[in-house]
Amino acid sequence: MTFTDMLQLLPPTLADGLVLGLLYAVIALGYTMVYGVLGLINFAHSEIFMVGAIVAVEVLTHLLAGTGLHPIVQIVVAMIVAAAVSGGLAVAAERVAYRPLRLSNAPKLAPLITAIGLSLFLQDAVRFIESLFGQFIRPFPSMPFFDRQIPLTPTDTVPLKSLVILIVAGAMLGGLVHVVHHTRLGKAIRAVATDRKAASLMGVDVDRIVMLTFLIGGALAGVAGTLYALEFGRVDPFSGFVPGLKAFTAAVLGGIGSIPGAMVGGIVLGILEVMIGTFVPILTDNMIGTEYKDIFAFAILILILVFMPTGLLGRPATEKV
Amino acid sequence: MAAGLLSPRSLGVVAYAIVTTAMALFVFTGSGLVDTAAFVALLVSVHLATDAARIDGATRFVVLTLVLVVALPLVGVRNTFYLDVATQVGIYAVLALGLNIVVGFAGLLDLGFIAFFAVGAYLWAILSSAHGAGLLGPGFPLPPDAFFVAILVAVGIAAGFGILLGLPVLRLKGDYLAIVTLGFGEVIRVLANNLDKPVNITNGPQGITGIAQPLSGVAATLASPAVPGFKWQALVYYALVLALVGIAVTVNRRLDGSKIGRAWIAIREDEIAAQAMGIPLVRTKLVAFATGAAFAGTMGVVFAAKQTFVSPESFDFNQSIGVLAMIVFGGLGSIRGAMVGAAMVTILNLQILKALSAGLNHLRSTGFEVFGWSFANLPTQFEPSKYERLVFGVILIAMMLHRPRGLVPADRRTIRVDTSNETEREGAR
Amino acid sequence: MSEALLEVTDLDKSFGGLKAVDAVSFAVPEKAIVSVIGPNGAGKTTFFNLVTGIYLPDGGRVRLAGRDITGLRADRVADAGLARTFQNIRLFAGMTVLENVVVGHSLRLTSGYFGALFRTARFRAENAASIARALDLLRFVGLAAKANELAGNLPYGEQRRLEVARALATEPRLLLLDEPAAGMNPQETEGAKALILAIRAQLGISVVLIEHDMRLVMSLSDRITVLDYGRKIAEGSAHEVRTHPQVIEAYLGRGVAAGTAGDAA
Repeated sequence: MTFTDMLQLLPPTLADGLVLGLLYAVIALGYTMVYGVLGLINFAHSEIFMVGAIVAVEVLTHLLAGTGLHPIVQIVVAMIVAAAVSGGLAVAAERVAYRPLRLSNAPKLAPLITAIGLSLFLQDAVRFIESLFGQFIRPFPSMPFFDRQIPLTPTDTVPLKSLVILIVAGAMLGGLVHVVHHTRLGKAIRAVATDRKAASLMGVDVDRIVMLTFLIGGALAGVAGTLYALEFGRVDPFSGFVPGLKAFTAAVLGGIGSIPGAMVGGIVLGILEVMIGTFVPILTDNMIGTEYKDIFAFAILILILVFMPTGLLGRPATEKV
Repeated sequence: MAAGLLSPRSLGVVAYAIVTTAMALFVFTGSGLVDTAAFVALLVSVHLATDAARIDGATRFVVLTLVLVVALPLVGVRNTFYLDVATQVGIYAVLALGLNIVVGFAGLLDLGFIAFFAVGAYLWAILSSAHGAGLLGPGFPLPPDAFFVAILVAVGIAAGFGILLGLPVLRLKGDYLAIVTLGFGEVIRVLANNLDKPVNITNGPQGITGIAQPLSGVAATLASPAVPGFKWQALVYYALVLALVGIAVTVNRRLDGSKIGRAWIAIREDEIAAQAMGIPLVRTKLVAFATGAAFAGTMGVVFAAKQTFVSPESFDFNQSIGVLAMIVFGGLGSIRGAMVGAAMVTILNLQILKALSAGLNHLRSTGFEVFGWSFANLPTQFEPSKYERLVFGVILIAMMLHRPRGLVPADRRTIRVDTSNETEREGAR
Repeated sequence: MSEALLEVTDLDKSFGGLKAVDAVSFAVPEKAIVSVIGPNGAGKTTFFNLVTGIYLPDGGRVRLAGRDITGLRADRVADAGLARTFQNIRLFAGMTVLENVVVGHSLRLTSGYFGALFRTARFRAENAASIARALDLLRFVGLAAKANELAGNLPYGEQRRLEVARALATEPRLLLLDEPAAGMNPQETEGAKALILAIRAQLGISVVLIEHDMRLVMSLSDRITVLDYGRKIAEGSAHEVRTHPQVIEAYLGRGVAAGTAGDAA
């Protein structure tokens, strides 16, 4: 493959990377917000994302198919339902699993272990529910509208769904920035993230803010799940694990606890992943093939944490001794 | 203090052991739930006897010998299945003890622990199979009894991997360490799955077969035609694993009551204070990592020999979580807890879930009806034996919320002194 | 004049834009009891953290018995002979009282991992010696009767004493105590004072205290150093410091300082 051939691959690769990156960014926001507010990695966030995806697929397959509504409307409805379910699930998780630990005298590892337990439980619980009705791998219903091609460059096109994802994810990110920086709720969230005790002394209802943080992060994950199902065409109870891990990597890359960091990290990671996945096999003559794509993200994670633990946009936190 | 051999408590434990042994010998007919209950009851006698605070050494010796050296092998002769289960429990007990050092003592959450298990398993697989001969050339495969050398080598190699992984990541805070170790575990699995080109090291997803078994000569000479269908090799493995469990427990106990063991607990309790007391953080954590890894690597070799086959599937994230669930269930930092946890989770997975599956299948095939709904309508995808994640998840959540110290909490006092002659004072003399 | 046991020269530390410790120089002779005082936020604990290796100084030198220990990691500093206690007590709460002190002594043991693994004679001897030494130190601070209790269950005052015993177990030449009398009633404070005097008298160890209890400081210290906004503003005997106008100003404000200076004259 010549250099000009590779150059021609660049625009669609970048486009794919951007789309994937935006998906990661939206999921990463959930991780980063919860970490900022509680100092906890919400391991179960990947499953909250997965539930959103599954709910979206079920809504589209069973409720909306055959209603004759415009595909865009169907997708929007699916996103709203997914966001509600995921957000609710996140709030429930916080109430049932995380809040009791904050109050009790549990060992330091307890929140993380509980989060892992919750993640596993959700995977099999969803599998159980889906199995009762048949297959647990759920395909996205066929919606040819989204496969329509839109011209990108004189020689390439992108499917309409990429554009949809771009717009929706962009809107989510923009909306969140607005909430965090221009509303009182956002101010309260930032206060709790900076110093929980001081915020409560200032009259902020910390428990409520934590709940709302989980709600927002969960809802975003639900929307991301819908978009993920749209992009990849199928979901199963275990499809949250790897994207979740990658989104977490993105959050760390951007600086965990930093919202702009999560966005930047997500986009960078998405682009890097697609670029590496496309070009490295070409350059190494398929010796390092696309099977290794997933561990590129882990490799990046390890490298960042070792060499640049505060990420691209994060601030170092010093512990008071 | 521990009671004497003739005290009521000790006699009670010995009596219990004898009763459950008799039960096991006469009740065991198959592998149904009743037999499982009898088996578990037998194991409980071992657990009761190892309570060092309340049972003295003589009683312990009597009960352990009776149950582990006499009863279980006899049961096994009638029904190899339970010998196999006991061996499996033993393998996972050592794994749990290893992870217990990393997570329970030092407080480092390692979510990729099974990677070290994989290293040991693939090591023996490559050294002793025809596949390995193709890779390494003449001189391989090694004779089956080189197994014992392989165990020693595995200790070194796994510990080495532990140090290699630990060096860059042990400076990280707890949560990050967990994610990175998870990533490492995944990397090892993906590598195992894909290192079949350009050089075929792991034979990819097909795995490696034809792995040598040690002491097959011993098994052959022991074989008696009077016991048809009994695999003496199973007894060999049982004895081997029992010995390794003994060694693992001894190592754990010796390290626990020493400078390094206390350093681990100090780091877990308060890193900054530990450092101020002269404990080098990274070096101490590395030792924990390496020790845990060594335990896992050793059992990997045993596992590979016993299965005579390894594939990447046996070494995924679920397995790492399984071992974590064992020590969370039993009690973080508790040696007896690790073994209780290993036994319970293994038996749960092997026996109870499987029995549930078999039961449901039976109901499904006979079309059993309840409230007008027939079990024949139950979808075939619904397979309880595959729901280990649910089990692990529930265990982890329930334990952390209700019994964070586990079923058999660690007794934190490793040193006890006689303070009867000391007086309480207000200050210095 | 004996060579100073601890010699700090021009120590500097900034956090972001804030200069927490500003060119502080400080010397402690052998067998001395010295105090560091100053209003809250003056940089006293930061100063301790710099000396003991918890923070890395931006500039300056720290020398212990002539050996340069600037910027050494905290565990190396402890090894060199500098031990400390913490402002917010940092005990190993899940361990017994005795075990806490034994951990402190671990750093002086020579038998390590393999000694423990194979239960060598050296290991067994050192282990027994550690336990005996720890018990001795507990008797010294008056906690021997509670040796088998969990450290987390002790009342506050006893926890502070345990921290001291643990620090002493590292066999230091110099002990840094961060607010040893905080939260104590007068009787407990007298006990703390007696303990500090005993540490110097019986163990020959120099003590540096950060304290807010002025009566304790004045009655105990050979010399007092005063910090304010990260800078050393006064140093000298109790009387000198008590009447120093800048010190009074730092604690009570400019108007009072002017008035007091007039009174003292």
